[in-house]
Amino acid sequence: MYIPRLRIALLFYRYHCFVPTLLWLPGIWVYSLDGLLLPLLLMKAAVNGLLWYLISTTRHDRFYYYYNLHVSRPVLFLTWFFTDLLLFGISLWATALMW
Amino acid sequence: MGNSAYVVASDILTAEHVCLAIGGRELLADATIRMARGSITALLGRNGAGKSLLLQCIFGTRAATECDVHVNGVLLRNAYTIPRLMNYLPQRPFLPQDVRVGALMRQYRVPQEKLLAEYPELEAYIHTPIRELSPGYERLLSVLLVLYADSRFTMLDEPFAHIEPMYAERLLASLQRQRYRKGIIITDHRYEPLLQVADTIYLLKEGRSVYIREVEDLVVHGYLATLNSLITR
Repeated sequence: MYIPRLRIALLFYRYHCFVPTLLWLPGIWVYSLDGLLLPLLLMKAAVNGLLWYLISTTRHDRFYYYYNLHVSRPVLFLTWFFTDLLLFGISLWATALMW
Repeated sequence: MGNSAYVVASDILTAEHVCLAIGGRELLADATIRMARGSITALLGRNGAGKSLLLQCIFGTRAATECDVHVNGVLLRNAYTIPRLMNYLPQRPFLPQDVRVGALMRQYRVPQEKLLAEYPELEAYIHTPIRELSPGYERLLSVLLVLYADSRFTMLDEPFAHIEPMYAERLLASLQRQRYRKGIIITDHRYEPLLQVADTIYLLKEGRSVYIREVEDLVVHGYLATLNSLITR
């Protein structure tokens, strides 16, 4: 039961990843300049918190697609938040390898 | 009103003492409704009476001051997270725009052959993403997905809104068929079709639910001005 729910939650990330992914670019640029990882991840986490607030207030009706598939709001948030943070971290790591 | 209930199982859902206040305004004050699997319950009320809020409180997606939801006597929290228990049709569009109709049917565990037998015109849209459907067709599909999905209880918030008359009639027939396998609660401002199919009627008034025994009670409680519109039909 958890795997299908995770798939649905990842679908939520897919539909709401455009702006967070766009914000990777300045993050990668800053990382390439000073190489500090932790402050960048903390800033990304704070921005993601703000984005979540915007998504959940402006698009709350769309959440019912996921609710009807029994995926709760905390599961959607945690999956969205940590998937983006993880992928952002991987992109920074890949950048460091290339530099 | 007055249709016999097609009780196929003993599932009983009760929502008691539902209280909700937003911004200091008491919107629901001890509302109570009860529905059985195998029956249709109509929830009527004027604009802003709190019908949608009540359904959302039962579903578990709206935090209420107080809300006791029981299924067969078992107290539930966040009922929507329990697999195959209940689903809810919100008033506004909620389907992801990129997902295809066929994929949605699979995700919601809709018996595709059965649905296509009743709505053969949907077959042409199986591979169509939602964004390519007209708003009316998207609404119809949303209603059908929720209604035919594998759940014991279904709550429909204004299912007839934006639906053309011909489909509204077919939807009524579908409701009659689906009542055999689930409990259905409907709220809509088009009250005439609801009165035709509902086994139980509640009126939400001043935050409280009023059980309607006779259609005349709707006039007594100020929901209808007269019964003329019903009598002339």
